[in-house]
Amino acid sequence: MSCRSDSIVITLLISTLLIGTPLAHTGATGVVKKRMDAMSDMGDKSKLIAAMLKGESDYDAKTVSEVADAYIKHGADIPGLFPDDEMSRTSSETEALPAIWDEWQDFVELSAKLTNDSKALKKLADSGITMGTLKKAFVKATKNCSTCHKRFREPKD
Amino acid sequence: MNYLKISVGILLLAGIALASANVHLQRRESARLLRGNVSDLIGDVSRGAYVAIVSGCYACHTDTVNDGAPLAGGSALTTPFGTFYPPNITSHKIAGIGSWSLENFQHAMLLGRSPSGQHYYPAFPYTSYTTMQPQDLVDLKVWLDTVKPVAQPAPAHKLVWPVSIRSVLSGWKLLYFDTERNINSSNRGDYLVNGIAHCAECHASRNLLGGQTDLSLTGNRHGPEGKSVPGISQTDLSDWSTGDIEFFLELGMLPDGDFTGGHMANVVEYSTRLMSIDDRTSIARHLLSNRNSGATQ
Repeated sequence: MSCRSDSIVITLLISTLLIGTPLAHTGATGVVKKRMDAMSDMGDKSKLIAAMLKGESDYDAKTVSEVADAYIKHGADIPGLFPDDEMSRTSSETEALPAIWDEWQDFVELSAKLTNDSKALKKLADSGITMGTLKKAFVKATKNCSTCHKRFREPKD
Repeated sequence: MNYLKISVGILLLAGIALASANVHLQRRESARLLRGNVSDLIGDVSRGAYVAIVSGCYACHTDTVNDGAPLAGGSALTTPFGTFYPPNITSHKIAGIGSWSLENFQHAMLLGRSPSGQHYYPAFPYTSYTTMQPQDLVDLKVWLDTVKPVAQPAPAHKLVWPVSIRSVLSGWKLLYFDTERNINSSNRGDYLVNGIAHCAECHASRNLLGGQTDLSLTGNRHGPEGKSVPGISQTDLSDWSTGDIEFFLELGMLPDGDFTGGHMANVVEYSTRLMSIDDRTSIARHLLSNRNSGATQ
């Protein structure tokens, strides 16, 4: 093989590797990327309700119901996104604390609580609620986010 | 023999330096007490409960990790100087502070001195509490007297030498404890941010000795959890609206949809979310204004 064709093959190999590597979320891969994307999605959804509560957008029951659906799904998915293996625990991208696996039952219960509290939020949205009630239900559902981050996520720089 | 003489000389000099620091400190302390006469004031328990919320007593003095009794001693605070255990401040007469007089309490809050005259470590933010208004102080004291007593004292601090010697704090206080910290008490936001809600304790930088010479809230690279603490100066918050800050203080949610964790989650849970809407607004407006008293020091 000539020198030129060698370099073409190497370029192709590198390109394939690069295309195959997920570019989103600061280089995380596999299950770590999946859970980071899930957290980002929850953040994006939370912003929709926050905008209503801050008066930046109009109240829209359908959007609240859809946000609640997303929380319900993520709450159910979260335990499966934190397997107890080396990559999950020690990936350089992860902010997960070992407490997740040391206090696994609490972690699972908190995820389940997110789902349950979000079901209550959805029920309220579907039955036509006032902004005051929306805030209360939103605070209750998202309290699980703060509690989980406080106990199970590294403090952010 | 010469080494012995040199060692004795150094010890003598250190002793003289600390004694002289103490004399200077006592002068400052007397001046501070003169500005805050509390003897004629009558405390109000319900107002005191609110002062406790605003001052953030619960988040540090309660072991929230292990569902500890309220104010019976907090979770360990790990710092480069060792581990601090926030004490029991319930009304128990031996394990807590139930036997304290109003004067004892005033000395602790405004001067960082214990009833026996010992210095407190600045992990207890008396450097900010020294700005507390006399009526707030008296209200807080009568409320603390109603807190259910818990007989278990907190563990002793485990600190590295020479920080473990309390008398060295005379020198530290002389350098970094500003008993004249200039707070505009008619500006509620300034009184909260730079005074009793003590934001600067974590959000302003500290030098190698843990001293703060610039209180402009530009962040602290060596925070109490071993992580840097973000800046909350006007520049740092240039993308935040007043509503964003109010919303954060109430729910712990950042503009990007994330929810805060770490110690700030406790601050939100046990302090800022329980504040009045007016106080949260005052904090937000003050942070976004360019009238922060800390920035001018």
